[in-house]
Amino acid sequence: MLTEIAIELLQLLIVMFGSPLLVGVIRKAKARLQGRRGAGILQPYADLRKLLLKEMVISENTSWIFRFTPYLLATTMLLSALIVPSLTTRAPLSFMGNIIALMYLFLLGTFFLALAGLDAGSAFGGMGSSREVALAALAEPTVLIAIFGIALRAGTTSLDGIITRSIAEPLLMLNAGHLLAFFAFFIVALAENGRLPVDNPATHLELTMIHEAMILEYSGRLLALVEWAAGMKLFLFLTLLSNLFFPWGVALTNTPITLFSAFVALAMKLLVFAAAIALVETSVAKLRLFRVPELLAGSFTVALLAVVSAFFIR
Amino acid sequence: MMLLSLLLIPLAAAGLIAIARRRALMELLHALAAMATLSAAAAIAVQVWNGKVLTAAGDLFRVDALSAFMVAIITFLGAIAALYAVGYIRAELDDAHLSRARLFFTLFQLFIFTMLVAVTTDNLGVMWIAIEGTTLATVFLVNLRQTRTSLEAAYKYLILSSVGIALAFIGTALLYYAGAAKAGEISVNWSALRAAAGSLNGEAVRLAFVFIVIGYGTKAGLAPMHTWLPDAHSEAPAPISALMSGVLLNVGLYAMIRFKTVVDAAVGPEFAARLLIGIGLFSVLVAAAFLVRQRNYKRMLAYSSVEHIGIICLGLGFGGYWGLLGALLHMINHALSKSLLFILSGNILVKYHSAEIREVRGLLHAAPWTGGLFLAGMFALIGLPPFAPFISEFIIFRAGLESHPWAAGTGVILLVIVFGGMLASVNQMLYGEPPADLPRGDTLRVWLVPLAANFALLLVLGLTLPSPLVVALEQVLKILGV
Amino acid sequence: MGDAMSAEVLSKAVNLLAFAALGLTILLIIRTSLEGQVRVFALQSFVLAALSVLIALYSASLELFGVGVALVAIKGVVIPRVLNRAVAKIGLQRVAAPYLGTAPALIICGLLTIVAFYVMTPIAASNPLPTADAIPLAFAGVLIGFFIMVNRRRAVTQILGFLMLENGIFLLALLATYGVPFIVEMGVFLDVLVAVLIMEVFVYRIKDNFDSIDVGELGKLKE
Repeated sequence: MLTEIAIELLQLLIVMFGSPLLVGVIRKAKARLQGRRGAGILQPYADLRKLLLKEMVISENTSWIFRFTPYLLATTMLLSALIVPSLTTRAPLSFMGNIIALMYLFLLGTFFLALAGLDAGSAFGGMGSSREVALAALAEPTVLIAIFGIALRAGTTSLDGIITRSIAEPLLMLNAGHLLAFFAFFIVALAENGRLPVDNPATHLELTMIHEAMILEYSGRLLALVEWAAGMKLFLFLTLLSNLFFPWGVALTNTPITLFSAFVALAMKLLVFAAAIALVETSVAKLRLFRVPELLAGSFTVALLAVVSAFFIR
Repeated sequence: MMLLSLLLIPLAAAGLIAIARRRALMELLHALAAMATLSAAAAIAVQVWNGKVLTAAGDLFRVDALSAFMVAIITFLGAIAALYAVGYIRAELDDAHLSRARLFFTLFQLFIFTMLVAVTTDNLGVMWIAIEGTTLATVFLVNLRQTRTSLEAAYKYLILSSVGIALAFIGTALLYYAGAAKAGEISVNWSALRAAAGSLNGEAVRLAFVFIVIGYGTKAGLAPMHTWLPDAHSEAPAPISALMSGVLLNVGLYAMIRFKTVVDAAVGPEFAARLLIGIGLFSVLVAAAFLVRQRNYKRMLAYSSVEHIGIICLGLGFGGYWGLLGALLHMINHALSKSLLFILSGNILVKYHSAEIREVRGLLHAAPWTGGLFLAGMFALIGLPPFAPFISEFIIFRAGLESHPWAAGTGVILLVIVFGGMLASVNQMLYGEPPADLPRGDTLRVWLVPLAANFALLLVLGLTLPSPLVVALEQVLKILGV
Repeated sequence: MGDAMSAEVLSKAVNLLAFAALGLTILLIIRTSLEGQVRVFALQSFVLAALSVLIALYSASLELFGVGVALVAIKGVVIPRVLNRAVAKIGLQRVAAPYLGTAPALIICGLLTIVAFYVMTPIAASNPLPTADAIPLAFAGVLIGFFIMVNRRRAVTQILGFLMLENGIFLLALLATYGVPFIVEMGVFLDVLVAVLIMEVFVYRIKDNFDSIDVGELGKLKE
């Protein structure tokens, strides 16, 4: 019993404290690729601490949603951290680890964030919310279909089940459906986390921001929570990508050795993904807003092909 | 030997014409080639009629009764169109356009060559290549006049035909797969496939036939893949329209018929029959609907081709001795009457300089021979006795009324509609006062002489079926499985 | 050499390459520049040549090697060169919008793939060859090529759609029966080459006559 709780706590702590580090690594990699030295990889921790100490300025026109949302975001992310198998497939709460439930948790956060953007009544917030919701409307079907693609092949929607079955399959990387689902999921990950080429996380230009527009009114402690939650969302998405599609290294049993090697494997995979994201962000320009539906339609088609492949091609 | 020379004559003629300098030489080579091809074909036909099956180049070429039937049609009408073409090109293209005339004659011979290869080869793949070849050979002929409308027609023709034939290749590949999967023996010959038909994979064969009907049906002018036909046949020069409408469509049908024999032996005749009746009836319907509204007489004739191909398909679908016999006879009769009419339309175009019906008036007064033959040809086309198409249509619908009364009945009603529409247009053209400034007398009268053969055959076949013909047709029917 | 590569691995590799070929067909819808489209077609021809060589290795067939080489030569080099020459001669064109935008077109591609699977799965199921699973993908390529021809308004893009349709058909024959006999394959290539040359001439003529290669302008012959 105690070990179980300890393992859950371990996974939770990794997500909680690892996400700012992940964000820092991505930023550093981007800076290096762009020829700058960039801030240190521990900078996001410093930013979060600074924000926690600052005074909050809240508009009078906001309702309870404005104050409630950052806490909700953080909570949903922490709940998801309990479910997503970052280290092991045998965590005690993992019976709740249904991938559809996971997507719902993410979407809950997005929904409330969109509301909060509207809440302050500023033009930027409303604009960001409408853009975000439009993108979500296109990205969600893709996510679900991509999930169906992998779930069909594995025969279950439980995250643990998918990983266990995937590890057992020898020629996994040659499987077309697998690769297609990965590609679709990657694009959706970029869209959902506000990364280039869909949204620029470092811009505050009216023409280009989506996620930043929604959180523009936040300051102080609330802003810290929102930023932290965004970091955790990215961490969880990348963990899903690594462990669902490249499941080698995930612990199937709960011994110290397997857990440690799982940790190392996870760190390496996340590093590779961070580098990949940095590379993509540096080399691709942000898409015009009108062309983002095309990108998402493309990933939708790819997801559809993945499902078709899972259905018909063994 | 005879078979190879049949094929080599037009090919050699094309090559020689391409390097000829003077018009007289080109015309001579062209006419000689046409007559030589005709004689070779006659010799082959006689041999096959006596029961032989000719082969050449290993088993690449194989002429049985069905192939000989097609060879006869191709070369006979080819010769008539070729002879008329000499006069037509003289009138249409003066010496300033000599290179275009050279192009015309060269492509004409190549066209004949590809059609002959298509009907004499035993290999599905080579047949496919040859039929695609017919498209490529005729595309520049359609655009000979280099006007905007002919460019549009030629482009549409090129694209639609190529797509259709590509789909036919899927059917070919599928049938090939059905043949290969069975015994591991890869065979693409009609003879081998026919023999092994009983053991072919039914699914694959059915799917293959659907693709074949869509694909080669595009080439044959079946609706709804016919949209290129009115444009291409009306924009092409008259002798080419005659050959395309009268002969090339039949070659497309030939391909379908060859596949049909294999399909019927493999999965029973109902599948092909239903498909052919459906698409044949649809073609007649579409043709009738568009034909009655035509203001251009060449387009009217083109739509009439769609209609008649639909009728032939109905005959093939109705099946049995009479249905198939009627279909074969109608292939001949339609070819004869349609080529007659298109060649005459060439004359009319040269005389009146317009393809619109309302611009052509008083044809009987202004050009008695042309007008008279045109009237006779029209009577033949719409199925009036004593001309031959009446007989073949009667046979087909008689067979149909027994087995598929609704389809046959609808077909007859549609024929009556077409009858009325075409007769009205023809009357407009033939009677009345010709334009005052039009010179009287037939143009190109001397070049109409070959049409006498057409006319005579239409009359003779309308009054009686000579027994050599019946024997020949029955040989073909045996191949079709009756 | 058949035992050097098991049927399982061949099947998976063939699937991957077939998906890549299909992906390239869909890519044609996304790319709007004519040079880019020609490049996509050339790339697809190379992928198909790689596929033939792979299958040739597995089935130890010299013919297929020859087919692969011919494919690279004709569809990978000669035809793209012909098309590039045509594109260069035509010069800058006012981009005529296709009838359907990119996003709906992409979704239609997905639906066409499903249709292709529906039609071809019985054939694939009954086929004993290890390459048979990818047959529906080839047919999807055919359908999507056809869709491109119908949807796009520039004559050169229509030609490219036709060429991709032909590629799909070649792939279908390759997967179903390891290709048709050599002589037929060569004849088909020859036909395609001549067809493209003729189409090129027509594109020039259309450009001269109508001053654009928008086939929507070719609309005078109605009825």
